Amino acid sequence: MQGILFGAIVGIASVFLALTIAIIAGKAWREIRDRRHRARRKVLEPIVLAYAHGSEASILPALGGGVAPSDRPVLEKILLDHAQRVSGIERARLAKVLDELGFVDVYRRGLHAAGWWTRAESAENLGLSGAVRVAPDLLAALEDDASEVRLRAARALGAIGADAAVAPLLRALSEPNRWSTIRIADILAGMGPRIVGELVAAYPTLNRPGRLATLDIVGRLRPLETAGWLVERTRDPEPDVRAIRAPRFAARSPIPHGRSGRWRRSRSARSETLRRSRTCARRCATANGGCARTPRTRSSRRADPASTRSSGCSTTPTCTQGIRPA
Amino acid sequence: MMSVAQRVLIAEDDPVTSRFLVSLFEEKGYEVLVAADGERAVEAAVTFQPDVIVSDLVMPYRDGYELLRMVRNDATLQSVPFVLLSMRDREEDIVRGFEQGADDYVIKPFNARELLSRVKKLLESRTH
Repeated sequence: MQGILFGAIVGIASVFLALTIAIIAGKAWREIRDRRHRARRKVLEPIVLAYAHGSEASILPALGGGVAPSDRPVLEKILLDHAQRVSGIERARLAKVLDELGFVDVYRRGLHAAGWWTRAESAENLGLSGAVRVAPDLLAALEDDASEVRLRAARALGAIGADAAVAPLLRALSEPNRWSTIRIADILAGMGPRIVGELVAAYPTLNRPGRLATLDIVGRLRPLETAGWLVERTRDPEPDVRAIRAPRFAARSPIPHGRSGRWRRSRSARSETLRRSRTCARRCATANGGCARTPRTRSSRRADPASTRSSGCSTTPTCTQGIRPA
Repeated sequence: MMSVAQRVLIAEDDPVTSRFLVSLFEEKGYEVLVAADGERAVEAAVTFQPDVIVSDLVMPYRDGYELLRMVRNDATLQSVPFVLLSMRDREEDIVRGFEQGADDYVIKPFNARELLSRVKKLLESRTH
């Protein structure tokens, strides 16, 4: 009996000892690796940045003709770190290095990995790579089972700015159960005014959330050529469409039908949902030079006290900017 | 190439961005000093006497607005061009920056060559 007890104690102690050694060894290995990475980063980062600022066709001569396998993760981290912080030519040159050193192909393969996290990370890195040729892979990733992968693929498509991405992202606007409409709207708005034509063309085919999101995006991009189209929306049978359109139009020109600023504000603020109420109040304040008085304040306080708090300047005495007298 | 290196103070708490900015400006012949937070940036601005300050908006201890206010209230620094560099792209943040005396406002992720041109232009307008 004593022997069994002794054996059990020794066994448990051995397991704990082995675990402790494994943890210490793992930590030591990680620290050695990180130290080595930091040291290599100090060497490699100036080479990468000099290439980014310069005009050489390839980075390989500066890297001695190739990259050691142990340097690849360091280079990858440097390239991704900087690519997400800059834009323009420097970003394009960093992205070119990612492609040149074969990282883009690694990410493309990563989109088919078993783990959703690897797929999501690969999609994000492909967006940073800026390689338009990967757009079909990312479009396929929009159908991924994991929502995080779909979202990162959508973001990547937006970052790449591939024209082929606009149509599937527009479709995503009409699927609020599968996509976050706000996030997709952000991605589309980030693609800039060049997508407005497609947005306007797709508008009749979208469902209600899609139409509202489209109006929101057009309002954020503010292309002058959509002014007439926005006026048309004032006749939309959908009250929320009329409401969301009003401040968007007001931000760029006087009200088209001689409606008063009070009508516009109260109309918006009377919107049926809590979110809409808060958003409209904020937009009215923006459209009216940061000042919106009683109609918005009253109705939004009723719907959501937070919108009244966030409006900030409801008692500002001068309230004339962008408002035609009643 | 400039005959006397012009001095750029970079107030930036993100080491990756600050290394990029250092490399960018040094490559063009500027003398660069980096301050990793608002407090150090205030000290560095007084001792380094930069020709231009490029500052992040969100930093520990003192933010970019505070640094800007301090620079504009300092007799020896008040004419130094000040560029705010921030991820904040809201109209009110940009307007606030200009109202407090910033000479330029650049939104991150920034175009490096555009930033260089803006800084160069500010330095030229200061000397004329």
